[in-house]
Amino acid sequence: MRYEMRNASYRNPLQGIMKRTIVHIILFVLTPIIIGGLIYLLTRSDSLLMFDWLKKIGLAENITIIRSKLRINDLLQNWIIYNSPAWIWTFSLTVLLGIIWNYKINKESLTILLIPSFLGVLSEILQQTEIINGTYDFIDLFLYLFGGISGLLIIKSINYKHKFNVV
Amino acid sequence: MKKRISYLLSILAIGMFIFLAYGSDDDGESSTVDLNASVSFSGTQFVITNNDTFDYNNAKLEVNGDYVLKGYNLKAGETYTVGIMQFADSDGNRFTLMKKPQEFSIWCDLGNGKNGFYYATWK
Repeated sequence: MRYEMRNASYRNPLQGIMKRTIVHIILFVLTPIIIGGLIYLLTRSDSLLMFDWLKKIGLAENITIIRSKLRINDLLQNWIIYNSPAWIWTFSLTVLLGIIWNYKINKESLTILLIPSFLGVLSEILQQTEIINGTYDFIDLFLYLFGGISGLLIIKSINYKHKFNVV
Repeated sequence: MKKRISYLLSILAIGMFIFLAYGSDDDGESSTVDLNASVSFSGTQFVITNNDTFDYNNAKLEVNGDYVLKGYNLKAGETYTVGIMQFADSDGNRFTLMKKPQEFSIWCDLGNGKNGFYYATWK
């Protein structure tokens, strides 16, 4: 009986950490990705490759009907449609990497945590030099950097609270 | 060992995001064409005209999002009349005179891997 109780007390803090990690993934990774994905699916041109993928899995018709019904383009401002995904992708990937690295920001993890911003900025530079498809946008470039910084700030703030809760 | 797992998961996460970013790449060619069709409702029938210069193959006609008629071929420049009772929902219930048509959509094959789409609403 005593053994079982001790085991249970060991299990709880771990379960708590797991629960918190799942909540962080839902809040800071999945939710932004879903919002970003919906922005793309409902507002952007259907010449994007993802529409070919949707067609292959038989969802293109449904998405086209939903797009026609909702006409979200008329409701959203252009910066939400064209610029916000840059921040969303960088922010959510930076936070996901931060969670993978156990919320620690040190020399080793920082190299990894800066990769999303680096890739975003690189993609804009490659677009400007016409090496890859796309339209160069200075605001996107800024948002890739801002996405990374806001991701790092979230990780730092969670790490701070996390320490207090564990101790 | 723990670090190795972190590196591996990081590579997977970055790879997944690159894959998503690749999906948002614009190949410049729309896979769906807006159809130049017109649809009117006579009270018991829908009058559908294909105003395009190409056929609407294997068309799926849909009323109010639920009532469907599949497998129609609408030839270029032709006008067709379709009785409302020909439309049925997934449970087999037919569209009746008691219901008011509010939305009409056409989804069809256009060849060369493209689809055509038309959507209209009545107030």
